[in-house]
Amino acid sequence: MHDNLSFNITKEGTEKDFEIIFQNYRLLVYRIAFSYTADSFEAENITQDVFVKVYYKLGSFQGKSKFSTWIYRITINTCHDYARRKKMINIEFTDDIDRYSVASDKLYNEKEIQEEVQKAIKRLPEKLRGMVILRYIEQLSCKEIASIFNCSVSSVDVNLFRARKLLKNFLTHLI
Amino acid sequence: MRCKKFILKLDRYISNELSQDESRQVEEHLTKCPSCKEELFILLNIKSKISHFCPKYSSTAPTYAKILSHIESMEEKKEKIKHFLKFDFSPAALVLVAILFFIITFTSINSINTSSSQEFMVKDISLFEILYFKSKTFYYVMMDLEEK
Repeated sequence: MHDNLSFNITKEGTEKDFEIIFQNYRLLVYRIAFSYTADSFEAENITQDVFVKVYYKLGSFQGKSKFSTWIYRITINTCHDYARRKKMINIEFTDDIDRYSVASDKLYNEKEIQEEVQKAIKRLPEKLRGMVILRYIEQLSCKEIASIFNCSVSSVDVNLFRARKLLKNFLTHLI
Repeated sequence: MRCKKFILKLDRYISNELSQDESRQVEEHLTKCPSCKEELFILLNIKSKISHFCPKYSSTAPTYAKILSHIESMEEKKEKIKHFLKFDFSPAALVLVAILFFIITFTSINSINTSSSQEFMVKDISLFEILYFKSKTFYYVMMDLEEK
């Protein structure tokens, strides 16, 4: 989208660019924040924090990575900070599995499955949660995710594998 | 060990992110290994569950005006803090304070060093103790003068 934009770092330029960036990335940031928290109020606060950071850091964007990668990185880091601040759920899969283990013959409606999936994503450790959201909801490539998390593609492979193992346990009655 | 190498690549395999050679190796392995095939099934299942049933939202993403007003209020706060911390120290005053501080400290150390009645060593005394001692001495001297 705006990955090839060259941003002016003058005061006027920053504000003008900022408006374009905001209009283009607003929903993307909100969507990730919502996937991360499953709460519209929290997602709104995270989105606000992300764009405040973007506003102040816009001048420091050097264009070494794609602009969208930069925005994704800020969003994921803000989500992590928020989770740490709020001490959100970060339980290992061995803990309290029974709560989620429902008889497999039970029929689920769409809303129930959605709730189960939300719970399962929310139970993942921060880093894995971020990767799962970017990979399976945002459909980013492993290479892009590696660039966002500043790690190797094989590290993304390992983390996604770990996340799948956890999700398989959390969603055992749906899979 | 061999299986793990392929299992880790399954995600990129189904998204066509592997090289032709790597894809062929994974395919070959899948024809021989039922447990990896099972893993592929689980991966597809999880992927479809998440993409179909990911959290749905009714957009309440903040508006541009809201973000701007938030930034403006942050700027105002910053200005207030800056204003609060802005003291007009003249260089002469700073130099005078520094000179006074050194005079008091060194005279204190000297007085303790030269005083034979003191039983403790200077190296064991902290600056705070020196200043405390000095102010106490000053107080007694003042009291003596008043009495006289």
